[in-house]
Amino acid sequence: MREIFIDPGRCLSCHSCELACAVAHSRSGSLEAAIGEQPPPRARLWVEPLNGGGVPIQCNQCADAPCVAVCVTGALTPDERRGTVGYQPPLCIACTLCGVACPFGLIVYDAGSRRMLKCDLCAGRAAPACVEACPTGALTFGDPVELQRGRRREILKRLQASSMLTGSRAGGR
Amino acid sequence: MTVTIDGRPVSAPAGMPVLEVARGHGVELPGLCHHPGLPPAGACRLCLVQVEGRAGRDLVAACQLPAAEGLRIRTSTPALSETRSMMFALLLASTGGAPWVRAAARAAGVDPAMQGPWAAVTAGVEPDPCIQCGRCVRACAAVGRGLLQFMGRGDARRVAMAGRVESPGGAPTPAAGLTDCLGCLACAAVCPSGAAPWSLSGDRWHNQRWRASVPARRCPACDRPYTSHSLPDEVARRLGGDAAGGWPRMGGRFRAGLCPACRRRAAARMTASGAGAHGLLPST
Repeated sequence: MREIFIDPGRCLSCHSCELACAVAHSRSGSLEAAIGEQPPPRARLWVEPLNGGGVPIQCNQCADAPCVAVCVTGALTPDERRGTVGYQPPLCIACTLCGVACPFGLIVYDAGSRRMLKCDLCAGRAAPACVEACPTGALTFGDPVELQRGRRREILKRLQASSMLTGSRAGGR
Repeated sequence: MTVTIDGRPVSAPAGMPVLEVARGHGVELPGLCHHPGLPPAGACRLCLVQVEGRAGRDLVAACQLPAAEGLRIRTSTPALSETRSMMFALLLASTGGAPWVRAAARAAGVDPAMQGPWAAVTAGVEPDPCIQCGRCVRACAAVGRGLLQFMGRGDARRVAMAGRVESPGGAPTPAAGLTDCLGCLACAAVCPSGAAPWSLSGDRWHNQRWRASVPARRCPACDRPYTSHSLPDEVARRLGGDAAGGWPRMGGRFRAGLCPACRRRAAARMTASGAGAHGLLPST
């Protein structure tokens, strides 16, 4: 099961992820054509400004998700296989209960399609478009256990580089 | 399970409306009343298909025809074209040739100028873009209010918001003992005609067609109105919590009633501080 990980320290607020998300969810799928599409394609994630930098955020794919609990049409259902909150936009009647229920404000109404928008982790792609578009690695996609292991190695390397561990035998592989 | 559409076998989940099966396989069928998230109603009769091997009464609304093993249907036959044209003629006549119905007719290959003898029959009827497809009625029921209902008979049949009583000098208000409109606005979102829009004016959402208005809720942080007043309380109630005591299921970590934009700001702060749901390690 793979998830999107956010590293806010790397985010430059370039908004490439938002653009890539909107294009990936457009009818045409290409930037040139998507620009002129009606209704205009919209992103399912946001780069929130914070302390002069940015934090890209999108659906957390909660277990026991409040949005699923309040959905009246079955448009939002747990996707056990992918470990996500599955969303079938055609079933959405835009009652907005999910948008109000989401603790993080990550499901919004789209006046163009008259349905709610929610990150679907780009079902059908190898990796979500936002992750592929991120030039700095602020967004990564992978198995949480693997990602955390990578982070530990990175920290260890930095510690070694700063000679804090020089001479010790605590090096990783 | 296999259904045969125009001679082409396609697989379909049992019980799925044939309309959805057909559209899912790229077969264009007209239809204005069906919404995949709502129970089928068969109100507009435009998605008619012909069921093979069924003698008489073989024209069936595809939205109300469940997929069944061995079902064989045709989506384009002379009988279908004729009946569909008549259905469009009726809708055009009853709506006074509403632009959106004309567009739907053109898209289905039917000349929207053709109103046939029906134009005379409905000459005295006031034009109204509503085709009484009942999507709003079904959406209101799905959300758990059921306030929108068909009322009246014959020419006088209309969708209206039930249980409202006139109040002097203002919009009608809910009758005593009845729950009020939740203000979810799904009725407008599912409406194919745009006949029942809500608009925000002052501190209330208004709907002229329903003769209704509901108070808006302002975000306690940014002061912008973002939903109806009662909707967050209802959502909290359904989640088994209490909006006033912090957001249910989140251990009260969120200030109650924040608008989605302010919640995103809070979520970004949480993510950056490493307290987010993603279990972040300090930034590298």
